[in-house]
Amino acid sequence: MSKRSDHEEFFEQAFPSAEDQAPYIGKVVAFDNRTGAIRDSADTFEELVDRHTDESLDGLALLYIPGVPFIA
Amino acid sequence: MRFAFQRLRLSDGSLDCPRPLLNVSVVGPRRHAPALMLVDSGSSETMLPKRFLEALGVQFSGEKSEVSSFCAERHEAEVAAVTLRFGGGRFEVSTRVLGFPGQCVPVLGLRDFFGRYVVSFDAGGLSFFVSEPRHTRQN
Repeated sequence: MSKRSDHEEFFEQAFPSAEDQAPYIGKVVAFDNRTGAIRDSADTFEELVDRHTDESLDGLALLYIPGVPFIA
Repeated sequence: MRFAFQRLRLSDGSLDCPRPLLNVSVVGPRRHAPALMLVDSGSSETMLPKRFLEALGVQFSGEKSEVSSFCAERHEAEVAAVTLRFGGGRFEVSTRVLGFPGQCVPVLGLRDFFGRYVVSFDAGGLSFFVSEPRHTRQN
């Protein structure tokens, strides 16, 4: 985390590159917070939670890549 | 605190428009897990896949809520309570959440997230801001 001013701290978060995301469209991936590298994938969030422990999820983030532009 | 917009790849090989995706630790009674959630001022509710919440040990209250998408597609979601942490632990909120029956992009919505924090977007600068309110709101 870097601090530009008292009012503007920037929270740095790595993210998988477009190339890295390509094989995982329609999937949920677990990627490394610091590098953006994808470490695991599954069809659903709950599959990844069931496969990992809280400790092995530390430092990772789960991301659904729907593959189509979405409205919410 | 400022966060960067992120871009998802689309199935045709192009990139989606930059999105305000926030890395949130979803804390249930049994487990916790980090999920990228869309900061969505168009959604009235905060929502996650129901089975994901169940995997964290979240119990649903029995209250149900019908929600619809922009295109009026309707779904019945179930109400629960979770704790959300983000910003390296700087922010933590206990909040109502809806369990969505199927896979979805998790969203942080108006009713709880935007009601709790001051949120602003700088889409041109590819970033968004979340901060605590400066004054206590009175209703």
